[in-house]
Order: sequence, then C-alpha cells, then structure tokens
Amino acid sequence: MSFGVPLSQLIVERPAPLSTRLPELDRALGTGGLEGGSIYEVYGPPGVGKTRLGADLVREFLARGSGTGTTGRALWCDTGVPAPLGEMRDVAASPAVFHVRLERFTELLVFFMKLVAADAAEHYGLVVIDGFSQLVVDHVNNLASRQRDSAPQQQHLQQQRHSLHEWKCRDLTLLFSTMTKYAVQHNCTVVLLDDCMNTAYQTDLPANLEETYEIVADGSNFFVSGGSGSGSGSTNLGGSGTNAARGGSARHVQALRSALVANAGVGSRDSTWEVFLRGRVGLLWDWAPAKGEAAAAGARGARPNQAGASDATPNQASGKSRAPDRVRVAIVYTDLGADTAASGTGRRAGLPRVVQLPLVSAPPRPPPPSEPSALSETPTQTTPVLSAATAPSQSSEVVGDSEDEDEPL
Amino acid sequence: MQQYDDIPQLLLWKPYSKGQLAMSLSDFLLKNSKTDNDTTLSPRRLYYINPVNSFPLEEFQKLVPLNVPSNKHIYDNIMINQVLNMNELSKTIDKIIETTKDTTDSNENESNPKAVHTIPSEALIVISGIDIMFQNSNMSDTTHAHNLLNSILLQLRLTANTNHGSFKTVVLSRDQGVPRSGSTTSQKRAKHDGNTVYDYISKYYADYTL
Repeated sequence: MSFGVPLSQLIVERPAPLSTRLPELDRALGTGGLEGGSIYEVYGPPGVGKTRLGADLVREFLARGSGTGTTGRALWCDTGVPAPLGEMRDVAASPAVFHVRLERFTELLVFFMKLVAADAAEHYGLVVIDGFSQLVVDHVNNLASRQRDSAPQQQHLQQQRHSLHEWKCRDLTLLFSTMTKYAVQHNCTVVLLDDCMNTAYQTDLPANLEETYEIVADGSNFFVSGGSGSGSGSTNLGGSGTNAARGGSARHVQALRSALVANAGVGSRDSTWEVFLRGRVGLLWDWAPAKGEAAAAGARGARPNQAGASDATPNQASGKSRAPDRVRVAIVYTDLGADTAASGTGRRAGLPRVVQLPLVSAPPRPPPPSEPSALSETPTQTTPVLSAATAPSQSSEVVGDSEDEDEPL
Repeated sequence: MQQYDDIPQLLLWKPYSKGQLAMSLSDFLLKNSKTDNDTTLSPRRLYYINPVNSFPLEEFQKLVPLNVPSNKHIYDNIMINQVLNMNELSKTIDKIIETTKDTTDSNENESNPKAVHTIPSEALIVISGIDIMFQNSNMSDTTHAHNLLNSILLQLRLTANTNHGSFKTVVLSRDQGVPRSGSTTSQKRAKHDGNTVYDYISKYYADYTL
C-alpha cells in the first residue's frame, strides 16, 4: 500500500481512454473509451460480437502503443471455450499479447493475487477475460451442489438461494478487490466478456409468475415482461430502453441481464460487487420492422420478433412480408456505484444510454486446421479444449437453435 | 456541502453526485487558496480515500481547469489514496495525521517575519466507499473489522478536536436510506440485512448527516 499520489501526478500518468473502435459506444461511455485503472463488463448473447470487441480493444491497445513508441503488454484470458482465432491471428501473433487459460474461479483469483505481487515492470496494460461469467456460474453451481450435499432437506429453498447469493457476492467482491488493486496500481484496463441470461432469474419475481409474465409464442423460451415498466427496476434490464422509447406500452419487453447477476446465486445485494465495475455494456440484438413494413405491421397490431439472437430468416416471414431488420444495440451503464445520486444534468445516475451499433460483418473463413496460431502454441494452453457439447454456455442454452452462435471471429 | 468552516468535525454526506462532490471539493480548495501575492495562507490539503477509481476528475477539471498555471498547486494538494480494507484505511489515516501534525509544527516554528499571520494547514479527509473497505475486512474477521472501524473514527474525532477546526472528515455515503417507494419487500430486506456501516457512523460518530 502506498500513501497517496498527488492528483497532478495521476493525471500525467493516466493513459488516454482506450477506444473501442465503435465511435457510438465511445461517446456513450462518456469518456471516449475505456479508462485505465478500471474494470468494465461487456455482456450479451452469443454471436453479438463480444469477443470481436475484445479483440478490437487489444488491437487498439497495440496500435496506441506503437504510436507512442511504448508498446504495453496485453493479456488475453480464455476460460471455457477458447476464442475463435479466425480474425485474431494478428492479435495472437503480436509478441506483446500474452495468453493464459483459466478454468476455475479460484484459479483466476490466485492468478490476480500473484499479478498484484509480481514485478511492477512486467505488468499488463490491458487484460481481457473472455467468458468470465462462465467461471462465476460454475463456481456458484459448485457451491450449490455442496450446499445440497451438506443440508439436503432441512434448509428451505429461499434460504439456500439467499446463502448462495451471499457467497457469490463475497467471492466476487474478493476477486474484484484484487483486480481493482492491480488495475489501479498499473493503470490497467480489465475487460470482462460475459454471457447474458434471461429474466427467469430476476430477483423480484412475484409468486404468481404466470400472471405477470408470459412466454413468447414464437418458439423461443424467453420470459418476457407484460409491460415496459414492469421489470424489476434494476439497472440490468436489457432492451427495455429501446422498446419503451418506441412507445409500445403493450409490447413485450425482452429483458436480458448479465450472467453475473442472473444465475443460481441471484439476489438483491449485487451492488456490493457492482461498485467495482466502472461501466457495463450490454451488446444485444434488437429488431426493427423492415422498411415499408413498419406501418403495415403497426396497422395489423403485429409485434416484431424481439427474441434475442434466434434469427428470423426471410423464409420464415409469412406471405409477402419481409423479415424485420436486425440491429445491434449497446446499452451502456456507468456510475454503477452511485446508487442514489442525481447527476448534475438532472439525469438519474445509473440509467443506461442506448446506442445503435453497426452490424458485425460476416467473418472470413478461419485458417486451415494445419496452421496453428500463436495463441494455441503458447505453453500455458496445456489443458484440452472443451467442446461446446461438454461445456455449453448459459446463454447458448437460452438462445437455442441458431447454428452459427459462435463469436463471429 | 457547506463551506469548510461550517463543516463539523465528522460529517456523513448522503446522497451525493459527482458534480456536487466536485463542486464542494473545488470550493474547499479554491477558497483561501495560496496565490502569488499572498504568502500568509497555507494551502489546504485534500486527502481523497477510496477503494475504486471514484474521484470525480472530469467534473473537477471543468471547475478547476488544469491548464491554468495557478491551479497546478491545487492539483498537487489533492492526494488520492486507494484503500481496499480497514487495515489499509487505518494505516493511511495514521500517516495523514502524522503528516498534518508535521506540517502544523513546521508552520508554527517558521521564522519568517510573516509567521504571525501564518495559519496552520487545513486538511479535509474525504472517505468514499467505507462500506466496501469494511466489507472486505469483515469477510476475514468481523470483530477486528468492527474494532478498526471504531478506532479509526475515534482517532479522526480526536485529531479534529485537538486541531481546532483545521482537520475535518467527510464520509461519503452510498447508502440508499429509506426506500421512497415504501415497498414493504425492500423494508423487510433492509431490516433483515441489519444496519449499514453508514447507519452506524451516523448514529455514533458523525456530528450530523447531510
């Protein structure tokens, strides 16, 4: 622990915000990018471009370093399924990018503890943890199974859940404290790429669930709210901003939340660890009626499909109508620690900003399997790669049937 | 927040926003700040203690532009401390008190002819996120965390008493307080969770809560 740093020194040493290469997102973040010494979370369904965003951040980090002549070191951390290497070959080939594979929550905790204690000269300026939420979900599920084994019948389900939530908050606080310490010490930006989960896990579920919620009848298995304002009131609702903005009071609202929040350890005290997050970005799909169809759809009272990433192909469109246009939106939450603050602009802190992002272009063909990439050659990757069948992500279970649900890299 | 002279020895301030906070901090530092023509006044020093990177830098820079040369010493007099648990907070507070005592002594012993007009340095300690620090310590040892909290707050009050208004502390609260919506669920939950650290400070140590 050091005793204080003058603010003037902090400003001089502080690196410029790291651009996400998405100008709309940079503006929505309010600072022009991701700031050093901070932790950011990016969550969304598979295929929405989280890993691509992470790779772009690494590229931007390297480009910034080469521009100033002081190339920093970046760390890419894989957790479950390794990142697709199609477009990441340039990132992987860079000597300034390091790779590690961690498969347990506790491994990650110990890893960061060692980083904090390590030599300051060999620090990372950017750490991207791909699939962080999967570690947390696995950890919570392990705790749940242990809890079931130790107290099988006596404990009430509600008590079990409360206890799980307490454990989750405690462990996440411990991890984020360590991460924050490292990030502030070295002006490092930590980016967590997380899955998302539907609102079946939201905290304030009423007992009569069926009366308030309904299941979309188009085959997807999302719970959706019956009204735009009937969510839990949490800052984690996804999609409500855009739909409410359209003024459709009777429309269903897709509510996706970060898998860090919506898992078996759901509860009401997530703010204890959320305070460590400088910002949270939800990357989601939204659906806009195709041009020329919006008016007709409105007249028929039709509702555009808003069920996440399960694509509605042109073949599925009935008759002569066309499929709705798919748009990618980012929901940006900042000031997660300022619970009750009213900002100087009159806008309540914690309310998200919703921006539309360009669609991710089609990924190029991956390299032939005989050509291993630099990432896979690193000695740290000694564990066998889990297949999607053995380690499915939470959100892929929810989203369901899409065939190309891997990250578009 | 009020003017520095009106601030009590230990103030719990809630709720706050970054804009309000930046304005109050700049008021504290700009009023009575040392200028080139006036060497009789010691600059005020601000110690900002927080577990995360929460200093309202953007808002502060709008109020006190860094590119104005006369403002540089203001930025030099803001010390940012990152503290993650009560042990670290205790050590930091000890060092601050030691530093403040040294500065005051050196000012009193100064032998320049204007020493008569010299006033001791005024220090303001702003502690943000003390609940996080307490929570981190509470995970390993509850009793020790409580003891540290008590000793730190007592020490702050004691130092403020002996420094005659030149040493003050503001604890920034993140507590939501009583839910405005009157939700019974929230009230029950709050009751179940017990008093927060901020309730405790407000009840036993703060002069008053703003």
